Amino acid sequence: MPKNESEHMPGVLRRMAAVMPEVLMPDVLRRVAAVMPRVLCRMAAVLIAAATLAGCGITDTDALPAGQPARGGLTENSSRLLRVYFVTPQGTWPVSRPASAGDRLRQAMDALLAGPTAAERARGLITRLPSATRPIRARTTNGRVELRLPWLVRDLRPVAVSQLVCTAAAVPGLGDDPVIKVFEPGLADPWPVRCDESGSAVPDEQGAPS
Amino acid sequence: MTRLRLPGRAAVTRWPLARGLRAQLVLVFLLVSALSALTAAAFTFRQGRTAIVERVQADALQELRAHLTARAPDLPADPTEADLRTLALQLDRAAGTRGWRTALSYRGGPLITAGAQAPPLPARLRTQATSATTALAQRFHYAQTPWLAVALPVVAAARPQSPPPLTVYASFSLASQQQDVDTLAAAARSGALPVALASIVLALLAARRLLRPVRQLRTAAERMADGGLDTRVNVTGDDELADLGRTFNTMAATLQADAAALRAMEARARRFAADVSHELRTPLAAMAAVTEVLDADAASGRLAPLTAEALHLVSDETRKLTHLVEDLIEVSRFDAGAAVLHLDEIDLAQLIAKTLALRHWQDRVRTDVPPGLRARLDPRRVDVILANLVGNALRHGGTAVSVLIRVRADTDRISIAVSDDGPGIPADLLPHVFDRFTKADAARTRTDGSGLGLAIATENARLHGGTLTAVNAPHGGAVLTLTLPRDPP
Repeated sequence: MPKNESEHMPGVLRRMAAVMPEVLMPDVLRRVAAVMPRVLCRMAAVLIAAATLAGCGITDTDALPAGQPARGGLTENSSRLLRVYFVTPQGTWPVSRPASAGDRLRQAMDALLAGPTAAERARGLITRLPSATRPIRARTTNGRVELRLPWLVRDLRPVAVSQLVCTAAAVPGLGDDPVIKVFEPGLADPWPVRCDESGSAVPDEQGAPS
Repeated sequence: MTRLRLPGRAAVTRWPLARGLRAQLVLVFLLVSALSALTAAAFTFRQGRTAIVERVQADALQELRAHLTARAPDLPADPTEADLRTLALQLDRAAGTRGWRTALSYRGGPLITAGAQAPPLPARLRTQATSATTALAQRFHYAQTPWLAVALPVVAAARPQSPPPLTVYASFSLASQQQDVDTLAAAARSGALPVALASIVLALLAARRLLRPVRQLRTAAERMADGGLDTRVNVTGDDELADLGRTFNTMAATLQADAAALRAMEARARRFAADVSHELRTPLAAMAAVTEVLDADAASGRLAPLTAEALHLVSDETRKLTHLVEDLIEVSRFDAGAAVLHLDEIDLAQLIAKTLALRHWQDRVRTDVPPGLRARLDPRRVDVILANLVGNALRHGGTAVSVLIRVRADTDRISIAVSDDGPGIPADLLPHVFDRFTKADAARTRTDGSGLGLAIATENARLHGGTLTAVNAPHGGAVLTLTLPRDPP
């Protein structure tokens, strides 16, 4: 007769040991658990690789379409246009207006004095010229422009002088980079001035200001 | 008695599964959370980066377009280089914080810029822009910095369908956007790591919670395997593990009840055997006394020969019965755990000589005993064992049997081998030699032995903490070896 009860145990315990993992992890779950780390590892690896390969910076691209083109003038030839310099926040800017027959210089000076139209104002253009009771008298003699201003230059802002000089210089038929003689009321000697590339009035060094 | 198997050990060797489960749980948790954190971080980062870059591109294009739309109407159809340069200057000055630089190309001509230096432009953008009818944008790297270049064609107001005569290029550095993106990436990275770490903690907690009942069950199963049948597990909750725990408890209760019933039955059976033996002893003693007198009568020749023979038979059987009952009482004593050792320091050679002399075997048995070998043992019980072994050898070895007692001792054990040159023990009987009521010759049921001799010898050996083994020698004959510890318990 058995003295030790453990003799009864093997069958039961063996069954228990067999059942316990079964209960904890049913077959499907166990298979999933066996496969899952592998799948997860692969996914994580791919993700990390993608994340690192893509780089954390800004990547280069091809030249990609980015919307409609801009629309601009480019219709009238410059010979039929009057270029009048007004002021934008970025400096002086020549506005194009249709020119009529006659003295271009006068037309330009009148237009300058009249200031930007409503459409031009809408495009951000303004004038810095003060209003004047008298017109600007301008004439061309021997290919040289003489401007007789109704104001003293020192009363004008520099950008207003640039407007005057560059508008006068833009009149066709004056050649490249013309020198403008500016006369002030009550002063006999003119200022020889040019319009530089950035649309600003600069004193003419070659001329003899007296 | 079947050999004791160790189910507990068998179960334990399978239990690394528990550690495996925890590791798997933690791993799966970690991977899932790392994956989700990484995915979330990566997607957020990519969306953020796309938003930053596309926003700056859209803003820049819109700004550039607005400025260009405000200035371009004044461009004549035949713009001079000065016109274009003035426009470029206007656009450059409008760059604001972006600091873009522009260049213009009229009818595919050379780039005209306001300053001396043209902005960096990728060649691909230039080649595509010559034939493009839409605005183009390209990101590229210039001097290890990401840049954005845009090409914005300007169509003539009067001929919007014809190819755009003027193309405005602008490019600017995305260094500040790069900083934003770096910040975003750093945030995404520093967000993902704590999530992964937190998930480890959660996984450990979950594993602990899940595996605690499993550990309890394992411990309980081990305790039961070691004989603790009153082991129960605490069952809380209502999940599958709780079910398992309840099943375990039910099984343990059934097992305990069964074991108790078996024990009770066994105890009853033993007590019955012991009681019967004791009840038989008194009448048998009387019978033995009477048969001795009758034996003397028979021997005197005063009785008829037939009666004398009958008396002889009766007295013989009575002696055997007395012997059997004594053996039975001895066995019940062992079973009841009432047998105790009376240890004494004994010279083995003397003990063996006395045993042989007492039974008049000294002429039939050779001995090989180291002289002066002394051991602590119970002389009465060793005498019983030796008498059994030698008696068996003499009985089963045949008439001309030669029996040898050989004693060998080492530091902690003494072995006493009783060998004979008889026919040996039949192979099918060898495993049961020490079982109760096993007899060598099944057909010859009536022998001198009670059938309990070797069983009692085994119990005596076990009481000493020793063993009794039986083998057949290679050259024939049986060898029964008693091994005793030099220092019995």
